[in-house]
Amino acid sequence: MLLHLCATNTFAQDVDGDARQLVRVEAAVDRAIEYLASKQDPAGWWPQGVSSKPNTGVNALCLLAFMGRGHAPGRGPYRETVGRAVDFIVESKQKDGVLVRPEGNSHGPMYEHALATLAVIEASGWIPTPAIRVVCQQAVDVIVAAQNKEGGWRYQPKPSDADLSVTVMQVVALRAAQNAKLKVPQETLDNAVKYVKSCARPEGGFAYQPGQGVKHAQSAAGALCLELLGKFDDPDVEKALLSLQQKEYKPEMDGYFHYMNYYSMQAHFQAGEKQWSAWHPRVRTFLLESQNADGSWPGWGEDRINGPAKCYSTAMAAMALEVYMHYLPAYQR
Amino acid sequence: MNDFSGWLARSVGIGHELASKVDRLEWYWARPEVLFLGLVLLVPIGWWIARRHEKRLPWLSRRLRTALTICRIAVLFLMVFVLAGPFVRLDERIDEKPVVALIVDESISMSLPVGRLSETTIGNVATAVGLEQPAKDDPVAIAATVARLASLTRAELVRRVLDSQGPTTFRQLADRFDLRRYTVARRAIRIDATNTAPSDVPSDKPVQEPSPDAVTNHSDSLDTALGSAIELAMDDASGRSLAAIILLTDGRSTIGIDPIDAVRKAAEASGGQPRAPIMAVPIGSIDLPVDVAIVEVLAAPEVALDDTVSIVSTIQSSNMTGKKVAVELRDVSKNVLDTVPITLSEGRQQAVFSWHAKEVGATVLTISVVPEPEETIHENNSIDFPVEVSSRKSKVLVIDGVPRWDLRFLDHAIRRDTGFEATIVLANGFEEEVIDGGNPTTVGTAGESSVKGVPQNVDEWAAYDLVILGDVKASVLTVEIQNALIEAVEKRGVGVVFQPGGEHLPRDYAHDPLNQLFPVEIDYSAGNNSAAIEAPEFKPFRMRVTARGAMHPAFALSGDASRNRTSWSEMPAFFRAAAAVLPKPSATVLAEVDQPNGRTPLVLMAEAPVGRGRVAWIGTEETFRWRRNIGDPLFWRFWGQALRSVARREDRPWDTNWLVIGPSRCEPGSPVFIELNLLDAAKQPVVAPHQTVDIGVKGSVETVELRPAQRPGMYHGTYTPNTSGRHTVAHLSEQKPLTADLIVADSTRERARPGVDRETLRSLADITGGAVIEVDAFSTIPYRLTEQSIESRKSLEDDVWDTWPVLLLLVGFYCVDVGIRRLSGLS
Repeated sequence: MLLHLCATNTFAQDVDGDARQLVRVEAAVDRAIEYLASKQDPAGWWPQGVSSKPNTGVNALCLLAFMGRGHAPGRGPYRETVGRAVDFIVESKQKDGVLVRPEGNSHGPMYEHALATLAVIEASGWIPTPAIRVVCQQAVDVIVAAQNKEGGWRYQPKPSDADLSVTVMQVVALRAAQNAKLKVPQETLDNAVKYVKSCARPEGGFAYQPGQGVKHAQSAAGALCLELLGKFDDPDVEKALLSLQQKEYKPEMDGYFHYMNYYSMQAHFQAGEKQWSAWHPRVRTFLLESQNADGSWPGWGEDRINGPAKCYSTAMAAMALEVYMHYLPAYQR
Repeated sequence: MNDFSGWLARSVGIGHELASKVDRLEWYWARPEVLFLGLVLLVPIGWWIARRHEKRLPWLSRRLRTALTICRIAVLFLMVFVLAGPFVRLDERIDEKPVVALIVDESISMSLPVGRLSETTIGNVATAVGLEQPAKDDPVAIAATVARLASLTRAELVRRVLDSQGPTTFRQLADRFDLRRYTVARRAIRIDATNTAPSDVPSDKPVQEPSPDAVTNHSDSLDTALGSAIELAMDDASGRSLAAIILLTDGRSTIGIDPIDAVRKAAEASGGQPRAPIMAVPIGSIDLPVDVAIVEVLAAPEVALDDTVSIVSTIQSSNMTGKKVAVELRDVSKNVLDTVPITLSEGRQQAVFSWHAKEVGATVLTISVVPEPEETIHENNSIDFPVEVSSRKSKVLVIDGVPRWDLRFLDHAIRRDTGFEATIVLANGFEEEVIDGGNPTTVGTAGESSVKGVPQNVDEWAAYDLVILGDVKASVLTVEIQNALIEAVEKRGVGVVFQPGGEHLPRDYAHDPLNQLFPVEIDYSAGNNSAAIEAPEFKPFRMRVTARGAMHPAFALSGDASRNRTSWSEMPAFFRAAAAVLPKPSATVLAEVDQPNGRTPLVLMAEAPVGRGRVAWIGTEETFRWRRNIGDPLFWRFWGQALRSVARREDRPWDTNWLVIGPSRCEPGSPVFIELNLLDAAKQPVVAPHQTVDIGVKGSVETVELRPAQRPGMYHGTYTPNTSGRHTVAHLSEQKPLTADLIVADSTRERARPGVDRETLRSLADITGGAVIEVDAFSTIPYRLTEQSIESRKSLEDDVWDTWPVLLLLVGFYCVDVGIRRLSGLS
């Protein structure tokens, strides 16, 4: 039953207060969307600080921020902005199916590829052509082929070593692919569980790579991975979320604060009402209070990804808040 | 005298309004120079006429000659009079007073106790309500006054404030303002008798106290339409200055437009400026009462036999923190099925129950919490809700072109609902896939003559209870396959839900048999032959649920149809709809949207019986927007209920008699839909001009007539219950009588959240530039309003020369002249 998804025990929640805050959240996201629309290049890309050429990863994040607010391709006031962004990513496809631009990558193109795959899969629900479905399936096939024998992913689109940071992006993309009825081998998902579990720390939380120490951003990523892979009741999930909740919430808590927000909001949302209620108000309050007047958000530790414009941080913060809106199929619980 | 003058003025043809103020009329000439010149010339001309008559008509008697001369001079005089253009004018100075609207809440929540008021203000409040003010150094007297005020109901407090301060305050307001009074419950009603035009409101008119009958708001007091009341006050004052809206209320608005939305809409219409400041007088204590309430229950209305389903209840408590209570799930016989112990905390908490459906049929469950002795309100401690248990899971086949967002959400939700057994076929992509239980399997390639997973004949279609057809290519559904589906619907009772897209359905089927299964007429030329209509980018479509749709199971949210209608009509807007311009004759329109070009509304959702089955049309692929801020609850509520209402049901086969009431639980005043399927002993549909059902409650029986529906043997009707209680609906046929139960229960919305909603009142005041005024400061309201009367002048004019007396005189003189000449033998 649908209602099985609700918590199976009792909990307290200020429902009225949340309803009032949602109005503020929507207004903040709308300002962010306006900011992003104003920064888009007519060719469909957004400025960033990762590389000298347009980057499909940041593009994907900005596109997801629009779609997460319900601005779907071909619909509404941002139809052209969204359409240009989709076209840019699709046109970036390499012969081997990787969705990156030459010279437009960071040190690890699998970051960009996974984000671009996620964005195109979500956009494909509004573009009823076989061509885009082929692009999506090829992109998924790249991810499947790049998985290493431990079940994780690394920077390059071929099996080598692995880290949880790259792995989480592949897992989210594969989950979106499953939603979109693309072919994803169950074996790939099962192996991914093994790798993610290997990054779990006994004291609670996840490490960047097995054997390393806990990082907050990775704790959020690891918990989300296991949830998206169907392991909602895995004790490592609850331990990771609790380890996050016990820390003082501030931008300095992780060098990748926006990254952590994005995954921690989704991880707590996927974990059910009790965990969600324990986490989301602090992120919401902080993001609502820290938004710039022009609708953007500061980059904090990730300012180098921003470059002069603040498109990366704005898209990430908007997506963290868009978890409330329940529009993006990849976010559904 | 004035009456006679007025009658005379009216009689000669002066306008009614001018004639009624004849004593203040002033006479003017449009061309005074013509009058002067004409009169000056009339003297010599008159002399010349007289002289000429003397010379030319010496044989005529002097009397006749004089008469002739007078006639001619008179005619000339009248001509001068007419040419000079006489008219009358009324100059008026109008002192237009701004309007002040007083809205008094008369809903049932006003019967709740006032609650404990602050001791620091208790003296002023006591004075305000006409009680003796306790001495500041007398704690016993203060405590007694606090207790006495706390025991009053909110309505009594309002009455005492109005009795004590009303006469003076209203007189002061009426001196400067046009005071209009309203009461609000389910509807807002203007209660002052002086529903008069501004110009007719004399400044010295005494304040008219409404009669006791007029004060009572006879609309259902189980709701408060506070936003609608504010809109009514603003609409009544359109074209006038509205100095303030005074609200005497506990701030709870349970139906109609939200009050904050109402003032925002008015501000948008006024170029961003608030239409009027709102002076909100909160009635009731700041402190919440001691109370625990069941405020909401989320449960699937239909489940399959042997399902174990979750039922989520929301409990709200105030001033009972730490108290341990037991929240209970009870069956129709009030036996406790499950208990969840809760330690109460301030605010809302949720308790989740598991319920195992063991018996097929309709039943009523109750979530309740045992009332505590210290609680002030006991009516909100339980909620009943109906659940229907079907004998087996419905088999659903979903065929769509691509995984649209709606499909991605529907896929998850339908597979989580244990009442359905779903198979999904994607049929337009680069590969066709069948997905059972979420695992896609590649089964063929596009262009093949048949796609695996898509039924090919009647038996294969009939293996499903329901088919959802999305944006599917016509090449997937060949004419033979379409004909098989139509036969499966007509003869085997399969249900079909169409959810068109922008590419293939309905466009590809304009000339195909499937077109006849659509419950709507499509304009295939719309949208450049896409058969879809786009909304302007900044003016998206807004769904409007029809009156019939509000009773349909798909839109059932609460027991009140109008509330359901409002809730669904406030869903987020969307940007594209199929060009369904008309319903088919057999179809019922459930929801519609306005076309951008202002033509007749598009049919957004419709349902129709087709043979032994049913078909439904959902003309948008953007229902995912209903997930905004809440996720699945409304999205799946609609889809789950819509699918169940269309799917073939074993408990309602076409070849048996049955009687269904929908919804089976409602509130008094909310209409319900009655459907009767009637066959004779030979299993042939009973065809008659009408059928009747008897509806009995508390010893009284009412007969309701049902009219033939679109399918032979099926009859439809509506019934609006007026009293609460279990109603038994019965059709007494020659065969076995058919019965169904209808539970009519009063709404507990008004009492579910018994606290005064000061936050809403504060927001209303802030947004509009008004203020929150405590009851002890009610008499200061006239001094807070600074708006002044607007002085204006009005001039009314009416011509005097084009009246019937002038014409009569002209004709009279002319006739006399002609008569004299004829009698005298002149030419």
